[in-house]
Amino acid sequence: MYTKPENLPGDPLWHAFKNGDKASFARIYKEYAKLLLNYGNKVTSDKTVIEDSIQDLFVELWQNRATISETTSIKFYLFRALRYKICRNIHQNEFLNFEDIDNTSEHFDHAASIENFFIGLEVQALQANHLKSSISQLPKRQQEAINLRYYHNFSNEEVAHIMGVNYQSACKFIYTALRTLKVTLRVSFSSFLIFLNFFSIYMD
Amino acid sequence: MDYTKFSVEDFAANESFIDWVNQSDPEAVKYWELYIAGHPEIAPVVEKARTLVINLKRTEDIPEDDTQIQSIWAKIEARVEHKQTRVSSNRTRIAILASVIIVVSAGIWWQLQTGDSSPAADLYTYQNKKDNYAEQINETGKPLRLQLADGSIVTLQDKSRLKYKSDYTNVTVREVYLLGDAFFEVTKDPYRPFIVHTNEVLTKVLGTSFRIQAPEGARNIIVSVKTGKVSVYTASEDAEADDTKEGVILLPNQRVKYERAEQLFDKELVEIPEVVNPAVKSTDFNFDNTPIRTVFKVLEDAYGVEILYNEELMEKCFITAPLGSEPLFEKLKIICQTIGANYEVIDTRIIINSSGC
Repeated sequence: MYTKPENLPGDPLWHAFKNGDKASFARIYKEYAKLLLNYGNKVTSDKTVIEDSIQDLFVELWQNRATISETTSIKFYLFRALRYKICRNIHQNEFLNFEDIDNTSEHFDHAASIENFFIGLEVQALQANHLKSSISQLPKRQQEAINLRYYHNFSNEEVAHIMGVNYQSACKFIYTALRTLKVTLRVSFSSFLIFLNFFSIYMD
Repeated sequence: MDYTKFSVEDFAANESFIDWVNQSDPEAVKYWELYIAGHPEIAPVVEKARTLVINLKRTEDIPEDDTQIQSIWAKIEARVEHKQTRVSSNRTRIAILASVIIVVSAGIWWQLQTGDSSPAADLYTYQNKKDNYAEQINETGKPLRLQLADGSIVTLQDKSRLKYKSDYTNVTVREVYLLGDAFFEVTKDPYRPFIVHTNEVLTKVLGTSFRIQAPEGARNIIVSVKTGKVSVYTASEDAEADDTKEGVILLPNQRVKYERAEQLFDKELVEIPEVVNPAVKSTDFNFDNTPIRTVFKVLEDAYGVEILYNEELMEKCFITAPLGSEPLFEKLKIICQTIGANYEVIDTRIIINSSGC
C-alpha cells in the first residue's frame, strides 16, 4: 500500500535544494519541466495557464524551500503541486474562461510526434496512431488518469492522490478508458493486414 | 490467482502486469513469465493487453524543443532573483512567432537569389515541383532537424533542400521532394504512404527510418534503410502510363544504389550494419565453445542479415571469442580467423568460405 513520502528518508537532490542550493533547484527544474508540461496539457488545454502554473510552482518552491517537507519522490510531489496550481489558476479566471477542466469534447493540437524507434514493433506502431485519436475522444479525467498511469508510471494510489480523488475513482477512470481503447486494437490488427498486402503488391 | 477469465482491460489495468510489461519489477517479470508459460491459452489476450500498455506510452509526445522550457526558467529566475511579479506567457508567444517569420522569409530570400543562377538540370526539375509546398534549404553547415506536420522527422544535411506540405491532414499520400542528403524517420500511417521524390526515383514507405543521398547532378542515388521496409522505384514523368515499375524492396541494414545513367538498381548491405533486433544485448556475442551454427544464427538475428555457409562441412567448428559491440564485419573477421575461413559480401548476403574444422 501507499506510504506517505514523509515517513521515509528524503531524496538527496531535494534535500540539497531545501538547504538553498540553487544548482540543485535548477537541476530539478531541468529534469521535470518537460514531464510537467506534458502532464499539464492533460489537465487543461490553456497553454498560458500551464506555463504560468509551472512558473508559480517553482518560484513558490524556492521561496518556501526551508519549510516544505522532505520527499522520496520529487516527481510525485511536483505533479500533485502542479495540478493544484493549475486548478487554482483556472478558477481565478473563472469568469473570463468558461472552459471546464472536466470538459469532455476538447480536442488538442499536439504536434504529432510518436516515438520514432519502431524496430521490430510494426503492429504496435501502427496502432499507436489510432490509439492517439481514440484517447483524445475520452473524457478529460480519463485522459489524465491514463497519462499518469501509463506514461508517467505512477501507481494507481499515486494517480488518485495527484488527481485528488479516492483510490476507487482513479481505478475506475483507468479501467473505463482501457475498455474504450481496447476497440482500437481490433481495428488496427486488420490495418496491419492491409499493411502486409501493400508490400506483397510491391513484391510481385 | 486465476487469470484465465481476464479480459484485455483486466490485464492492462493490473499493476503487476504493467510492471511485467515495463520490466520494472523482477518479481513481476518472473511471476508473469511463469504464469503465461503455464497457460498458453491466454497468450492472445495477454499479447493484446501488452500491446495496449506499450502503445499508451508511445502515444505521448514530449516536446523536442527546449525554447519553452528555457523561457519559463528565465521567468522563474527573474522572479527568484529580483522578486518580480509574474510575467505571463503571452508575451513570449509573440516573440516565438516573430522568430519564425524571420527564418522563413530568410529562406525565401535565398531561393530568389540563387533560383535562376544554377544551370543544373536536377535543380531545375526540383524547382519546378510543387510551388504550393513549403521549402527548407539547409545552409547552416550542419544537419538540420525538421518535423513535418504528420509527425515525421527529417534530418536534412548541409546544402540539401526539401519541399514539403505544411499540412498533411487532407491528403491520401504524404509526398516530399528532396534534393541532397537526408535521414527520414517516418510516422507510421498504413492508409497514407510517405513518398520521397528524388529526381526520377521514388522511395515509398509506410513508416520507418532511412537515409537518402541524392545530391544534384550526382551519378547515383543511394537509399539506406535503418528500420522497417522501404520500396524504391523509378517513375518517368508521365508516371500513370507504366504499371510495371522497376524497383526493389529494402530491409534494415540494406541499401540500394541507383545508377542513373544505366537505370540500374544495385542492392547491397550498408557499410556498417547496425544491430536491428532490440532484444539483443552485446553480451549475446560472447561465444564460448559455441557451435558455428548458433554463432551465425545469433548474428543473423541481431543484424537482420543472411549468412550462407556449408553447414555439413562446418559442423565441427566451435567458436570461443568474447565479442561485444564491435561492428558486424569486425566480428566476422575475428570468427573467420579463428577457424581459418574467410567471408565475402555478395549483394545483401554474406558468404562464408571454409574447408571445415
